[in-house]
Amino acid sequence: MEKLDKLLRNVQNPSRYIGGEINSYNKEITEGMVRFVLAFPDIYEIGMSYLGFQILYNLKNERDDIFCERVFSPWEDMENELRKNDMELFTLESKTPLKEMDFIGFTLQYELSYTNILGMLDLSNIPFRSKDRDDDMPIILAGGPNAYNPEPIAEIIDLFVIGEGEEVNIELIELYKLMKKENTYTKKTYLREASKIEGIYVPSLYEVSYNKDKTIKEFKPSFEDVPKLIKKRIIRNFDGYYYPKKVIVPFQDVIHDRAMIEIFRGCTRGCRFCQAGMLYRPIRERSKEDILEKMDTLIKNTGFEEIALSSLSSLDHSEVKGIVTDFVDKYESKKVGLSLPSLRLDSFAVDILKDIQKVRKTGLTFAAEAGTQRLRDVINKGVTEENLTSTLSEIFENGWKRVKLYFMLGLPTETYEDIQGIADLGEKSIEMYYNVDKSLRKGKPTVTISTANFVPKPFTPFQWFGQDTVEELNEKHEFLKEKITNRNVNYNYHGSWESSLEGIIARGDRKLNEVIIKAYEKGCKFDAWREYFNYDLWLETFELLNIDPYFYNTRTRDYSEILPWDHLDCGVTKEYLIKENEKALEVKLTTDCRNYCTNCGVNKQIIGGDCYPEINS
Amino acid sequence: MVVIVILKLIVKYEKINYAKYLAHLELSGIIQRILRRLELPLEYSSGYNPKPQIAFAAPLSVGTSSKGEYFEVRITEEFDLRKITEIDPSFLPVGIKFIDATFSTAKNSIMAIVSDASYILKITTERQYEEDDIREKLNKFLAQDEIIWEKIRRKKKPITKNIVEFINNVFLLNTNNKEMIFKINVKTGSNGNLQPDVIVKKFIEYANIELSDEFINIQRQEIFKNVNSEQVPII
Repeated sequence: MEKLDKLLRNVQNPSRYIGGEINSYNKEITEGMVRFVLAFPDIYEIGMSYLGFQILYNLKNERDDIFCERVFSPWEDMENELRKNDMELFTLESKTPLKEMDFIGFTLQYELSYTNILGMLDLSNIPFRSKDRDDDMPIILAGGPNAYNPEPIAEIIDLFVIGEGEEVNIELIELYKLMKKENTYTKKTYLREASKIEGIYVPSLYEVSYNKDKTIKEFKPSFEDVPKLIKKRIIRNFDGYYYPKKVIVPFQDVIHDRAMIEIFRGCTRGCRFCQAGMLYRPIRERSKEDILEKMDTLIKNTGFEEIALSSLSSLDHSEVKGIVTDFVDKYESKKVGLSLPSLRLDSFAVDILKDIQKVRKTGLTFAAEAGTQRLRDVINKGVTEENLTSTLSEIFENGWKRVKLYFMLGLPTETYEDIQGIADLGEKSIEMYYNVDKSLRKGKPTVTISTANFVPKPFTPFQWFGQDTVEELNEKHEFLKEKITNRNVNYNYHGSWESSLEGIIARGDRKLNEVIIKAYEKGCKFDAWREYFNYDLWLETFELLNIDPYFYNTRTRDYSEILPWDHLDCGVTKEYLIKENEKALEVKLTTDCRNYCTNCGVNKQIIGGDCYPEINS
Repeated sequence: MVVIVILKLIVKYEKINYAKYLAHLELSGIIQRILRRLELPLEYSSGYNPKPQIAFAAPLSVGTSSKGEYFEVRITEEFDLRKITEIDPSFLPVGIKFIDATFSTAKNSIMAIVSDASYILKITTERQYEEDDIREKLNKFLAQDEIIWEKIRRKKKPITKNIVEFINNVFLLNTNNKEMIFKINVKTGSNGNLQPDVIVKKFIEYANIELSDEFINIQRQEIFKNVNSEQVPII
């Protein structure tokens, strides 16, 4: 402790590094115990907001033979202190250097966190490349949404978990224990065996060759017993399935400082830009009873004053109304509030919101995504102009005056008319506020328009699309800024340079490994943080290595091209994605697949039966 | 006439080990959740975001541990205090312990009644100093009419103040193993406030003591209120 004292007293927010939070674990180390550290390549406040982190932490720690700890990227002041004192990065729980772990499991939530993975390895004196790490080094694995294009970090990570991690995490640990016990463990033998577990991708067991035009020529396993196509893992029976009885109550002002209950996985809407909507199919709900019971337990075991209904589109749960009503009835007097992530603009939302507001009044964020009906139809966001206007009036009639509207810029087929549409919608919102009877209004309204830049992602119908250039995006921002003139409408947007790099890495191939490593060595880190992001340094790195970054983001691909992630199977077929892309260009809608099956393929590829027999029959 | 009685729960707790790195606001949030989890009859603030109303006796710097801290919180009715004193340790972060609790209907807030606080401070020195020698120097140091301290302020001119009147007493506990340990009692709260390390820093300067490490380890021992000119622990 005295040694760490020296560091902790010299850094900002020392509680990022101390552990010991309510519901965290600290176990006595016993013979044969498997040591696992969940690593989040960003700071504590960000990492502790992720639900998956809490699930995997508790799932493993509920077993006596596993001790699962946590580590986050240290902020620069802590990094400097570690280096100055010649110390390695340590786990929060037992303050152990990462090298002493059996497994280091990185979560991949966004591409701009990849240099931080290297930072964490660097501070642990662990070699960056898998091939340079021997049998005494921990196995380094990674999972999460970005694992669906593992190639840009395929030379760094030993194995990737494709899909939902609960079961497969344990299977990996069991295999490890067995091989250790039987004395057959070497890193090589372990990885080879692990590659046979469904949902595991071991990149070192595959070879890739390229065409003259730099596209992929062939991607194949190096051995016969290694699967050609890696199928994602899902939890089949989600209702009643494992959920932590308690979650860590974090220190610090974390981003989502509340308990979370995951009410379903998957989404049936089929928005064409949305990677999560494609990846997490099929939809699987927890029942109302299961959800309410788990909420009770979580509140009892944490003391949180707010709990979020978490999913990709929470109002789509078939029993959401009942969940909200029952919960509010029970917890209104105990002052426990409920929160919903961003909402679709429809009247059902307003209905539910009225109930939620009984305890705590929160701001409202609506995802409109695009400024005109045409473009909303292109992306299959099934929200109509009428939905939008009637919802907004209803909101204002019910006493809200602050609304946040969320859009994307740079979507396929977008024109300046569509961007003008965003500004118009802001203006219209203000108008609608003043159309409400004066007695129901309280002061001036505030409408915040927020735009993100569209980044085409693997396994979406837009995975072939050439992303807008930085210049194009900047022009669009300027245009929109000029068009938003009402003083009650605020506008904020994401940087184009960040989105450009995100786009490069999101659809990158194995050649990016050396780029990312070189960029880190040149000083790139915390790329998701405006104060650290250095686009020029990245461009310099690409140039140095003679790799064209725009080959990966702004280039439109052919349907026939072998994509770097084609060896992974998320259940949704390429034929479906092509069909959806074509329909987008023809401005044709695809129905919510609760209505009828749209043949995405997940039922055949992953389930081997109907997604939900009760609905489809 | 209606008499409104404000009922409060006062809790004495310790904040040691790594928990000393918890900032004030963080701790406040943690305590709120602990109290909610105990299902205590808390009085909530009104408004859009109802919160329990918690106040702390005296601010404690991040990095300083304490054996005697206090907070109070408004409640609607009395309950079995063993809920606090016999709380399951798993309800608390590592390093936080509830020591004692009581109810109060005092009008003044807990911050207003604080008068003094006691501390233990430890410094590590370059070489072993003679204990008697240091003790003699300390007595001379404290016998001065004036000890002038220049307080550095951010973006403002420094202010100087004579800290003698804020010092209640200072004892040298020992000087073993190239360490010096002091016990210090100082004025604290709205009627005069002094950080104890200021005294030690001034003394180091006065006695020409060479440190091996600039860091001064501080632990607060107790916070007092003034009852008939006597220092009495808050509860």
